[in-house]
Amino acid sequence: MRLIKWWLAFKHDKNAFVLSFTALTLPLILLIGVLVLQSGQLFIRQAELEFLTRQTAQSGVLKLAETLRAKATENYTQQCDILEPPLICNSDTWSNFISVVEIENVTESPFLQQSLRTNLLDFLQVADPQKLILNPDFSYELTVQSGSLQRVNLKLFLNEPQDNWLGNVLRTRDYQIETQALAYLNF
Amino acid sequence: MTLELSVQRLMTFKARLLGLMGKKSSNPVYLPGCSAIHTFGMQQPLTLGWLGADQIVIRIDKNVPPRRIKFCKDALGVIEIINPQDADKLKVSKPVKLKGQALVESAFVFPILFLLLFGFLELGLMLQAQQRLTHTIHLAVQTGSLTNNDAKLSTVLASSYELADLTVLVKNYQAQTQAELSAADRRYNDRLDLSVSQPYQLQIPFLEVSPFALQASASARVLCRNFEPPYQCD
Repeated sequence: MRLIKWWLAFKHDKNAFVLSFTALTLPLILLIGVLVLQSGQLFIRQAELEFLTRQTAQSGVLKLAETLRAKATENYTQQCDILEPPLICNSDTWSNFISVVEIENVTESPFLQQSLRTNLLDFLQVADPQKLILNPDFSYELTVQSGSLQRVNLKLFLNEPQDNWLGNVLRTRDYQIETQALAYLNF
Repeated sequence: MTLELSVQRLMTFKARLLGLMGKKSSNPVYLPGCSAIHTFGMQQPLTLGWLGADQIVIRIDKNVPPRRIKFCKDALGVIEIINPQDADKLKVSKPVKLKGQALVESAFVFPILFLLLFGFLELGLMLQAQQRLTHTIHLAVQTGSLTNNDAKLSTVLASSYELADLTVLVKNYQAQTQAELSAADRRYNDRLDLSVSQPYQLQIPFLEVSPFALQASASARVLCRNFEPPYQCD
Protein backbone atom coordinates (compact mmCIF):
# COMPACT_ATOMS: atom_id res chain seq x y z
CA MET A 1 0.00 0.00 0.00
CA ARG A 2 2.78 2.36 0.98
CA LEU A 3 4.65 1.49 -2.17
CA ILE A 4 1.59 2.24 -4.30
CA LYS A 5 1.11 5.58 -2.57
CA TRP A 6 4.77 6.40 -3.03
CA TRP A 7 4.60 5.45 -6.72
CA LEU A 8 1.45 7.56 -7.25
CA ALA A 9 3.07 10.53 -5.58
CA PHE A 10 6.27 9.95 -7.57
CA LYS A 11 4.30 9.69 -10.81
CA HIS A 12 2.47 12.93 -10.18
CA ASP A 13 5.44 14.88 -8.97
CA LYS A 14 6.95 16.50 -12.01
CA ASN A 15 9.82 18.12 -10.15
CA ALA A 16 13.15 16.56 -11.13
CA PHE A 17 11.34 13.59 -12.61
CA VAL A 18 13.99 12.91 -15.27
CA LEU A 19 16.82 13.10 -12.74
CA SER A 20 15.16 10.88 -10.19
CA PHE A 21 13.99 8.39 -12.82
CA THR A 22 17.51 8.20 -14.22
CA ALA A 23 18.95 7.73 -10.75
CA LEU A 24 16.57 4.82 -10.22
CA THR A 25 17.23 3.16 -13.57
CA LEU A 26 20.97 3.78 -13.77
CA PRO A 27 21.92 0.89 -11.44
CA LEU A 28 19.78 -1.40 -13.60
CA ILE A 29 21.46 -0.19 -16.78
CA LEU A 30 24.88 -0.66 -15.21
CA LEU A 31 23.95 -4.13 -14.02
CA ILE A 32 22.83 -5.15 -17.49
CA GLY A 33 26.03 -3.69 -18.95
CA VAL A 34 28.19 -5.60 -16.49
CA LEU A 35 26.24 -8.77 -17.21
CA VAL A 36 26.83 -8.40 -20.95
CA LEU A 37 30.55 -7.74 -20.52
CA GLN A 38 30.92 -10.58 -18.05
CA SER A 39 29.24 -12.94 -20.49
CA GLY A 40 31.53 -11.79 -23.30
CA GLN A 41 34.62 -12.31 -21.20
CA LEU A 42 33.49 -15.76 -20.10
CA PHE A 43 32.71 -16.64 -23.70
CA ILE A 44 36.29 -15.84 -24.73
CA ARG A 45 37.72 -17.73 -21.75
CA GLN A 46 35.55 -20.72 -22.58
CA ALA A 47 36.89 -20.76 -26.15
CA GLU A 48 40.45 -20.67 -24.78
CA LEU A 49 39.79 -23.46 -22.30
CA GLU A 50 38.10 -25.65 -24.90
CA PHE A 51 41.14 -25.37 -27.14
CA LEU A 52 43.45 -25.92 -24.18
CA THR A 53 41.57 -29.08 -23.13
CA ARG A 54 41.73 -30.42 -26.68
CA GLN A 55 45.45 -29.80 -26.93
CA THR A 56 46.07 -31.23 -23.46
CA ALA A 57 44.24 -34.42 -24.38
CA GLN A 58 46.34 -34.54 -27.55
CA SER A 59 49.47 -34.11 -25.44
CA GLY A 60 48.37 -36.99 -23.21
CA VAL A 61 47.87 -39.24 -26.19
CA LEU A 62 51.34 -38.44 -27.49
CA LYS A 63 52.74 -39.37 -24.09
CA LEU A 64 50.80 -42.62 -24.23
CA ALA A 65 52.04 -43.30 -27.75
CA GLU A 66 55.59 -42.77 -26.58
CA THR A 67 55.20 -45.37 -23.83
CA LEU A 68 53.46 -47.87 -26.07
CA ARG A 69 56.11 -47.43 -28.74
CA ALA A 70 58.84 -48.08 -26.17
CA LYS A 71 57.09 -51.30 -25.20
CA ALA A 72 56.70 -52.26 -28.90
CA THR A 73 60.39 -51.60 -29.50
CA GLU A 74 61.22 -53.87 -26.56
CA ASN A 75 59.05 -56.61 -28.05
CA TYR A 76 60.62 -56.07 -31.47
CA THR A 77 64.06 -56.57 -29.99
CA GLN A 78 62.99 -59.78 -28.30
CA GLN A 79 61.26 -61.16 -31.38
CA CYS A 80 63.52 -59.98 -34.14
CA ASP A 81 67.06 -59.83 -32.83
CA ILE A 82 67.62 -63.48 -33.67
CA LEU A 83 69.29 -65.29 -36.54
CA GLU A 84 66.12 -66.08 -38.47
CA PRO A 85 63.50 -63.48 -37.56
CA PRO A 86 59.84 -64.07 -38.53
CA LEU A 87 58.35 -62.23 -41.49
CA ILE A 88 56.54 -59.72 -39.31
CA CYS A 89 59.92 -58.24 -38.39
CA ASN A 90 59.94 -56.63 -41.85
CA SER A 91 57.04 -54.41 -40.76
CA ASP A 92 57.84 -50.85 -39.77
CA THR A 93 54.54 -50.35 -37.95
CA TRP A 94 55.16 -50.39 -34.23
CA SER A 95 51.64 -51.51 -33.37
CA ASN A 96 52.36 -54.88 -34.97
CA PHE A 97 54.69 -55.63 -32.10
CA ILE A 98 52.31 -55.04 -29.23
CA SER A 99 49.11 -56.91 -28.39
CA VAL A 100 45.81 -55.51 -27.13
CA VAL A 101 46.36 -57.19 -23.78
CA GLU A 102 49.76 -55.55 -23.46
CA ILE A 103 48.26 -52.19 -24.36
CA GLU A 104 45.61 -52.69 -21.66
CA ASN A 105 48.28 -53.62 -19.15
CA VAL A 106 50.34 -50.55 -20.01
CA THR A 107 47.34 -48.19 -19.77
CA GLU A 108 46.36 -49.63 -16.39
CA SER A 109 49.85 -49.51 -14.92
CA PRO A 110 50.26 -47.02 -12.04
CA PHE A 111 53.51 -45.79 -13.57
CA LEU A 112 51.80 -44.74 -16.81
CA GLN A 113 48.84 -43.24 -14.94
CA GLN A 114 51.21 -41.15 -12.84
CA SER A 115 53.36 -39.98 -15.73
CA LEU A 116 50.27 -39.26 -17.83
CA ARG A 117 48.75 -37.20 -15.05
CA THR A 118 52.00 -35.25 -14.66
CA ASN A 119 52.14 -34.68 -18.40
CA LEU A 120 48.54 -33.40 -18.52
CA LEU A 121 49.09 -31.16 -15.50
CA ASP A 122 52.28 -29.69 -16.96
CA PHE A 123 50.68 -28.96 -20.28
CA LEU A 124 47.60 -27.37 -18.68
CA GLN A 125 49.76 -25.03 -16.63
CA VAL A 126 52.24 -24.16 -19.37
CA ALA A 127 49.79 -23.80 -22.23
CA ASP A 128 47.09 -21.79 -20.48
CA PRO A 129 47.20 -18.47 -22.38
CA GLN A 130 46.24 -16.45 -19.31
CA LYS A 131 48.42 -18.47 -16.94
CA LEU A 132 45.57 -18.67 -14.45
CA ILE A 133 45.57 -22.42 -13.97
CA LEU A 134 47.54 -23.34 -10.87
CA ASN A 135 45.82 -26.37 -9.39
CA PRO A 136 43.50 -27.52 -12.13
CA ASP A 137 40.50 -29.64 -11.31
CA PHE A 138 40.73 -32.23 -14.05
CA SER A 139 40.12 -35.90 -14.59
CA TYR A 140 40.49 -38.31 -17.48
CA GLU A 141 39.21 -41.63 -18.74
CA LEU A 142 41.51 -43.99 -20.59
CA THR A 143 39.77 -46.75 -22.52
CA VAL A 144 41.10 -49.34 -24.92
CA GLN A 145 38.79 -50.10 -27.82
CA SER A 146 39.41 -53.40 -29.62
CA GLY A 147 37.63 -55.13 -32.49
CA SER A 148 37.37 -53.66 -35.97
CA LEU A 149 38.43 -50.23 -34.73
CA GLN A 150 41.42 -50.52 -32.45
CA ARG A 151 42.26 -47.40 -30.57
CA VAL A 152 43.06 -45.96 -27.15
CA ASN A 153 40.68 -43.13 -26.17
CA LEU A 154 41.66 -40.43 -23.77
CA LYS A 155 38.78 -38.30 -22.58
CA LEU A 156 39.75 -35.28 -20.53
CA PHE A 157 37.44 -33.25 -18.28
CA LEU A 158 38.44 -29.84 -16.96
CA ASN A 159 36.55 -27.68 -14.45
CA GLU A 160 37.99 -24.22 -14.07
CA PRO A 161 36.48 -21.74 -11.59
CA GLN A 162 36.18 -18.19 -12.89
CA ASP A 163 36.42 -14.83 -11.24
CA ASN A 164 32.90 -13.54 -11.27
CA TRP A 165 32.32 -9.78 -11.02
CA LEU A 166 28.65 -10.33 -10.43
CA GLY A 167 29.43 -12.71 -7.60
CA ASN A 168 30.17 -9.72 -5.42
CA VAL A 169 27.01 -7.93 -6.50
CA LEU A 170 24.41 -10.66 -6.72
CA ARG A 171 26.08 -13.19 -4.41
CA THR A 172 25.89 -15.81 -7.13
CA ARG A 173 27.53 -19.17 -6.69
CA ASP A 174 31.05 -19.61 -7.95
CA TYR A 175 30.97 -19.97 -11.69
CA GLN A 176 32.89 -22.76 -13.37
CA ILE A 177 33.69 -23.40 -16.99
CA GLU A 178 33.47 -27.10 -17.71
CA THR A 179 35.14 -28.43 -20.83
CA GLN A 180 35.92 -31.87 -22.16
CA ALA A 181 37.84 -33.25 -25.09
CA LEU A 182 38.54 -36.60 -26.65
CA ALA A 183 41.81 -37.62 -28.27
CA TYR A 184 42.65 -41.07 -29.50
CA LEU A 185 45.47 -43.19 -30.80
CA ASN A 186 44.83 -45.76 -33.50
CA PHE A 187 46.88 -48.91 -33.46
CA MET B 1 0.07 30.70 -1.60
CA THR B 2 -0.38 29.84 2.07
CA LEU B 3 -3.69 28.30 3.01
CA GLU B 4 -4.83 29.47 6.45
CA LEU B 5 -7.05 26.57 7.22
CA SER B 6 -7.00 24.27 10.17
CA VAL B 7 -7.45 20.83 8.63
CA GLN B 8 -7.60 17.37 10.09
CA ARG B 9 -5.40 14.87 8.27
CA LEU B 10 -7.10 11.50 7.74
CA MET B 11 -4.60 8.70 7.50
CA THR B 12 -6.28 5.47 8.62
CA PHE B 13 -8.45 3.43 6.30
CA LYS B 14 -11.52 3.76 8.52
CA ALA B 15 -11.18 7.53 8.93
CA ARG B 16 -10.73 7.98 5.18
CA LEU B 17 -13.72 5.74 4.43
CA LEU B 18 -16.09 7.62 6.72
CA GLY B 19 -14.67 11.11 6.14
CA LEU B 20 -17.42 13.69 6.80
CA MET B 21 -20.22 11.16 6.45
CA GLY B 22 -23.24 12.07 8.58
CA LYS B 23 -21.70 15.31 9.88
CA LYS B 24 -23.48 18.66 9.65
CA SER B 25 -20.53 20.69 10.85
CA SER B 26 -16.86 19.87 11.12
CA ASN B 27 -13.37 21.17 10.56
CA PRO B 28 -12.11 20.61 7.03
CA VAL B 29 -10.46 17.25 6.49
CA TYR B 30 -7.46 16.47 4.30
CA LEU B 31 -7.07 13.13 2.51
CA PRO B 32 -3.50 12.85 1.25
CA GLY B 33 -2.78 10.61 -1.77
CA CYS B 34 -6.43 10.76 -2.85
CA SER B 35 -7.56 11.81 -6.33
CA ALA B 36 -11.20 10.60 -6.22
CA ILE B 37 -13.96 10.95 -3.61
CA HIS B 38 -17.67 10.33 -3.18
CA THR B 39 -20.29 12.26 -1.23
CA PHE B 40 -22.63 9.40 -0.40
CA GLY B 41 -23.99 9.70 3.12
CA MET B 42 -23.14 13.42 3.45
CA GLN B 43 -25.58 15.72 5.21
CA GLN B 44 -24.37 18.95 3.57
CA PRO B 45 -22.94 19.95 0.19
CA LEU B 46 -19.15 19.92 0.26
CA THR B 47 -16.50 22.19 -1.13
CA LEU B 48 -13.54 20.24 -2.49
CA GLY B 49 -10.05 21.67 -2.78
CA TRP B 50 -7.85 19.44 -4.93
CA LEU B 51 -4.14 19.71 -4.13
CA GLY B 52 -1.35 19.15 -6.59
CA ALA B 53 2.40 18.96 -6.17
CA ASP B 54 3.83 21.18 -3.40
CA GLN B 55 0.40 21.22 -1.76
CA ILE B 56 -0.97 23.94 -4.02
CA VAL B 57 -4.68 24.11 -4.81
CA ILE B 58 -5.13 23.16 -8.45
CA ARG B 59 -8.93 22.98 -8.60
CA ILE B 60 -11.96 23.86 -6.46
CA ASP B 61 -15.36 22.16 -6.72
CA LYS B 62 -17.94 24.20 -4.81
CA ASN B 63 -21.25 22.95 -3.35
CA VAL B 64 -20.93 19.35 -4.42
CA PRO B 65 -24.23 17.79 -3.35
CA PRO B 66 -24.50 14.38 -1.68
CA ARG B 67 -24.44 11.17 -3.74
CA ARG B 68 -21.86 12.34 -6.22
CA ILE B 69 -18.47 11.01 -7.28
CA LYS B 70 -15.71 13.47 -8.08
CA PHE B 71 -12.16 12.99 -9.21
CA CYS B 72 -9.21 15.06 -10.31
CA LYS B 73 -6.58 13.21 -12.35
CA ASP B 74 -3.61 15.32 -11.34
CA ALA B 75 -4.48 15.64 -7.65
CA LEU B 76 -2.21 14.28 -4.94
CA GLY B 77 -4.74 14.96 -2.18
CA VAL B 78 -8.05 16.59 -1.44
CA ILE B 79 -9.47 18.89 1.25
CA GLU B 80 -13.16 18.40 2.05
CA ILE B 81 -14.90 21.42 3.59
CA ILE B 82 -18.44 21.73 5.01
CA ASN B 83 -18.47 25.30 6.40
CA PRO B 84 -18.97 27.97 3.68
CA GLN B 85 -16.66 30.40 5.61
CA ASP B 86 -13.81 27.94 5.35
CA ALA B 87 -14.62 27.31 1.71
CA ASP B 88 -14.17 31.00 0.88
CA LYS B 89 -10.56 30.82 1.99
CA LEU B 90 -9.70 28.40 -0.81
CA LYS B 91 -8.11 29.96 -3.85
CA VAL B 92 -6.69 28.25 -6.89
CA SER B 93 -2.97 28.93 -7.06
CA LYS B 94 -1.16 29.62 -10.24
CA PRO B 95 0.69 26.51 -11.30
CA VAL B 96 4.44 26.61 -10.89
CA LYS B 97 5.96 26.95 -14.32
CA LEU B 98 7.76 23.72 -15.07
CA LYS B 99 8.29 24.46 -18.73
CA GLY B 100 11.77 23.41 -19.86
CA GLN B 101 12.61 21.69 -16.62
CA ALA B 102 12.68 18.24 -18.17
CA LEU B 103 14.84 19.61 -20.95
CA VAL B 104 17.41 20.94 -18.50
CA GLU B 105 17.38 17.70 -16.54
CA SER B 106 17.76 15.71 -19.74
CA ALA B 107 20.72 17.87 -20.69
CA PHE B 108 22.40 16.74 -17.46
CA VAL B 109 21.47 13.10 -17.83
CA PHE B 110 21.93 12.42 -21.55
CA PRO B 111 25.73 12.81 -21.64
CA ILE B 112 26.04 10.20 -18.93
CA LEU B 113 23.64 7.85 -20.67
CA PHE B 114 25.31 8.33 -24.05
CA LEU B 115 28.72 7.75 -22.51
CA LEU B 116 27.49 4.52 -20.95
CA LEU B 117 25.80 3.40 -24.14
CA PHE B 118 28.82 4.03 -26.35
CA GLY B 119 31.14 2.61 -23.69
CA PHE B 120 29.22 -0.66 -23.71
CA LEU B 121 29.16 -0.68 -27.50
CA GLU B 122 32.90 -0.09 -27.63
CA LEU B 123 33.59 -2.85 -25.12
CA GLY B 124 31.30 -5.18 -27.06
CA LEU B 125 33.23 -4.50 -30.26
CA MET B 126 36.47 -5.03 -28.40
CA LEU B 127 35.28 -8.42 -27.11
CA GLN B 128 34.27 -9.34 -30.64
CA ALA B 129 37.76 -8.41 -31.93
CA GLN B 130 39.36 -10.42 -29.12
CA GLN B 131 37.20 -13.42 -29.95
CA ARG B 132 38.19 -13.19 -33.61
CA LEU B 133 41.87 -13.00 -32.70
CA THR B 134 41.57 -15.98 -30.34
CA HIS B 135 39.84 -18.07 -32.98
CA THR B 136 42.44 -17.20 -35.62
CA ILE B 137 45.36 -18.03 -33.36
CA HIS B 138 43.84 -21.42 -32.58
CA LEU B 139 43.72 -22.20 -36.29
CA ALA B 140 47.23 -20.88 -36.80
CA VAL B 141 48.83 -22.87 -33.99
CA GLN B 142 47.18 -26.06 -35.21
CA THR B 143 48.58 -25.44 -38.66
CA GLY B 144 51.97 -24.71 -37.13
CA SER B 145 51.89 -27.98 -35.23
CA LEU B 146 51.99 -29.86 -38.55
CA THR B 147 55.00 -28.15 -40.07
CA ASN B 148 58.27 -26.48 -39.24
CA ASN B 149 57.65 -23.87 -41.88
CA ASP B 150 56.43 -20.72 -40.15
CA ALA B 151 55.34 -19.29 -43.50
CA LYS B 152 52.45 -21.80 -43.55
CA LEU B 153 51.44 -20.63 -40.10
CA SER B 154 51.56 -17.03 -41.26
CA THR B 155 49.29 -17.89 -44.19
CA VAL B 156 46.49 -18.72 -41.76
CA LEU B 157 46.96 -15.44 -39.93
CA ALA B 158 47.09 -13.56 -43.23
CA SER B 159 43.72 -15.01 -44.21
CA SER B 160 42.10 -12.94 -41.47
CA TYR B 161 44.48 -10.06 -40.82
CA GLU B 162 47.02 -7.87 -42.51
CA LEU B 163 50.28 -9.38 -41.29
CA ALA B 164 51.78 -5.90 -41.03
CA ASP B 165 49.26 -5.15 -38.26
CA LEU B 166 50.28 -8.12 -36.16
CA THR B 167 53.18 -8.83 -33.89
CA VAL B 168 53.68 -12.58 -34.07
CA LEU B 169 55.92 -14.57 -31.78
CA VAL B 170 56.48 -18.26 -32.48
CA LYS B 171 58.42 -20.36 -30.00
CA ASN B 172 59.33 -23.98 -30.17
CA TYR B 173 60.21 -26.01 -27.06
CA GLN B 174 61.82 -29.42 -27.00
CA ALA B 175 59.41 -31.96 -25.51
CA GLN B 176 61.71 -33.49 -22.91
CA THR B 177 64.03 -30.67 -21.84
CA GLN B 178 61.70 -27.74 -22.51
CA ALA B 179 64.69 -26.00 -24.10
CA GLU B 180 63.85 -23.40 -26.71
CA LEU B 181 64.59 -24.51 -30.27
CA SER B 182 64.54 -22.86 -33.67
CA ALA B 183 61.65 -23.49 -36.04
CA ALA B 184 63.83 -25.72 -38.20
CA ASP B 185 64.36 -28.04 -35.24
CA ARG B 186 60.67 -28.57 -34.62
CA ARG B 187 59.96 -32.25 -34.09
CA TYR B 188 57.20 -34.58 -33.15
CA ASN B 189 55.85 -34.02 -29.61
CA ASP B 190 57.66 -30.68 -29.17
CA ARG B 191 55.56 -27.81 -27.84
CA LEU B 192 54.74 -24.89 -30.07
CA ASP B 193 53.76 -21.56 -28.50
CA LEU B 194 52.23 -18.80 -30.58
CA SER B 195 51.50 -15.27 -29.36
CA VAL B 196 49.87 -12.56 -31.39
CA SER B 197 49.44 -8.92 -30.55
CA GLN B 198 47.25 -6.56 -32.56
CA PRO B 199 46.88 -2.82 -31.98
CA TYR B 200 43.23 -1.98 -31.34
CA GLN B 201 41.70 1.18 -32.69
CA LEU B 202 38.60 2.38 -30.89
CA GLN B 203 35.62 2.36 -33.22
CA ILE B 204 33.91 5.34 -31.64
CA PRO B 205 35.97 8.40 -32.49
CA PHE B 206 35.22 10.72 -29.58
CA LEU B 207 36.29 8.20 -26.94
CA GLU B 208 39.98 8.83 -27.32
CA VAL B 209 42.22 6.81 -25.07
CA SER B 210 45.86 5.88 -25.43
CA PRO B 211 46.39 3.10 -27.98
CA PHE B 212 46.54 -0.43 -26.69
CA ALA B 213 46.85 -3.92 -28.13
CA LEU B 214 44.74 -7.03 -28.00
CA GLN B 215 46.70 -10.15 -27.25
CA ALA B 216 46.10 -13.84 -27.68
CA SER B 217 48.26 -16.89 -27.31
CA ALA B 218 47.90 -20.62 -27.72
CA SER B 219 50.01 -23.76 -27.49
CA ALA B 220 49.95 -27.13 -29.16
CA ARG B 221 52.01 -30.30 -29.36
CA VAL B 222 53.80 -30.75 -32.66
CA LEU B 223 52.20 -33.61 -34.57
CA CYS B 224 54.22 -33.81 -37.75
CA ARG B 225 56.22 -37.00 -38.03
CA ASN B 226 59.16 -38.04 -40.06
CA PHE B 227 60.85 -41.34 -39.32
CA GLU B 228 63.76 -40.68 -41.61
CA PRO B 229 66.83 -38.79 -40.38
CA PRO B 230 67.09 -35.97 -39.40
CA TYR B 231 63.54 -36.67 -38.00
CA GLN B 232 62.40 -33.11 -38.43
CA CYS B 233 59.08 -31.84 -39.67
CA ASP B 234 58.67 -30.88 -43.28
